Amino acid sequence: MNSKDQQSDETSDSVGDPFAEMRALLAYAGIRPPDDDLGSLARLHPGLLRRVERMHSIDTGDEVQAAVFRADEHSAGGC
Amino acid sequence: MPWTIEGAARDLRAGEITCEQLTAEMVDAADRLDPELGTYLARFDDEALLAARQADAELASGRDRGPLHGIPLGIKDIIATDEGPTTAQSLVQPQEWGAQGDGPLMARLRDAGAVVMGKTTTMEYAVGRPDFTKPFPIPRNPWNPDRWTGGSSSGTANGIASGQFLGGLGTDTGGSVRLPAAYCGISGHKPTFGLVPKSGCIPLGLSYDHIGPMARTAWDCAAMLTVMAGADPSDRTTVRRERVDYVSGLSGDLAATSIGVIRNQAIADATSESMMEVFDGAVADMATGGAKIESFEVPLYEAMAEGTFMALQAEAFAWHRSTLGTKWPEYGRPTRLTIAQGAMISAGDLVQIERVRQVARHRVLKAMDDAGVSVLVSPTTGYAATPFSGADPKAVSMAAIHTPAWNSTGFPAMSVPMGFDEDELPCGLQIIGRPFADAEVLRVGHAYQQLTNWHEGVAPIHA
Repeated sequence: MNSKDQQSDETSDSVGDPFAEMRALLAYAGIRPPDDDLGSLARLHPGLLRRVERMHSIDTGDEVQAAVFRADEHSAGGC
Repeated sequence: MPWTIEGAARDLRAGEITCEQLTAEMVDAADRLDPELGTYLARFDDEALLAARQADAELASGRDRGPLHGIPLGIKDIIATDEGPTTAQSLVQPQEWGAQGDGPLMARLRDAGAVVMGKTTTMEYAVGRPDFTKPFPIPRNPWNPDRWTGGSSSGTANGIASGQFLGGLGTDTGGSVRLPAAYCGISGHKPTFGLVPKSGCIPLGLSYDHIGPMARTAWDCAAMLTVMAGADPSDRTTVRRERVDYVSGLSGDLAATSIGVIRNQAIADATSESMMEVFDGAVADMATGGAKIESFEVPLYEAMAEGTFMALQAEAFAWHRSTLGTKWPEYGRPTRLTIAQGAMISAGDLVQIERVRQVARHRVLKAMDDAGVSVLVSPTTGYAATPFSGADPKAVSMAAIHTPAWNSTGFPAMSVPMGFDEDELPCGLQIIGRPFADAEVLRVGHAYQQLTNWHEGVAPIHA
């Protein structure tokens, strides 16, 4: 099985299974919690997603384009 | 024995007490109260008494370093000091991290003559809840030891409220200076982001963290902030500005001060009737004192509050990622579950949170301009100190903490005592100002404390 197939299998296994989705999500970050913690995080996830969606529903227009990096000289780290 | 930094500074110069006597009294108080209240993770009794004797010798020789000369302080144990390790109240934190010793902020306090009494309790890495499964003291509230102090600057708050030291340092990422100040009946100030250097402090949310002074009164916080404020090259988030003597700006009255009273429904919905009655009384007192009162709706208030918690989780995750992978079981459960949620927030999500943050910040400032107000006020929390078990779920919900929006904007915000609820527990009044208008926030807090005596309340468990 090539890596693409393997990824496809893992995805199909996890779809609709919050526990498996959480396991896969955290594995990408190098974290493999025990099942009881995974269960707790899987229960917290929908609420977090709702809050994230609320952020994306706010019209920020063109007031700012992204997180801002300032190369100014007024901060202590400046020239 | 003096209760405040202001009173101690006066008594020391009047010869009514020495720095050594003051420190010795505080050591005695810790001997009696720390075991019950869980104030300290480490005490530096010998070093403190030595520093106090040196402070006495300097005063005797005519060298006076200012209001903090000989003043005993407690330091939250995520801030490194010369005396000992920094544990972050965690089994994960490497012992050698604290070996770096004083950062610029601690060096400033020490140069101002402060006496470091010890390192105070927090929640693990300043997140989560009190964790009874770990081998650390549980910080208890001097007004009722079955109640929590609030966090995460827990030991600093209960140490001041119980008379084990006169001031101290807390850190505030979502409210961790203001919340324990409110729960314990003291004053606490979150400075403008960029005013106080954070080098030497373990980060939680890198762009939401603030180190702030905690003490009994706004005057005491102003004296501490005067020493603490100022840019340092070791912290590139700090901003170079003219130095300010925050004590000299304490006019003592509210005449011609326009105050916006936050009336967002989200706050009303998450605040008890008892707390709201106390808050309305505080607003009435300020009006009696000459303030002009305006009703104020904070734009994007809930988005700022929710964005703070999500972004701090993402930022904390960035700092803890490698250790979470290798030491998961050694973290306390509340801590690891909180930080791991940062892995669920995508890069795109974080960018949007940051965009909302910046838009909200501009809209709040514009709304303040349009209303002509210099500060905003709200209850610091919706409920007073919560019990360790059996708490009303509304009282322990994140919505009942009215502080995190101001970590999003980075505006200065402080909590001062404003009365007691139906259970005789302290309630906090939050005062919020424009960026770098810390002097105005402290001025309003101090003027309110000239109108009221809530800050003089004595907790049942006290030295």
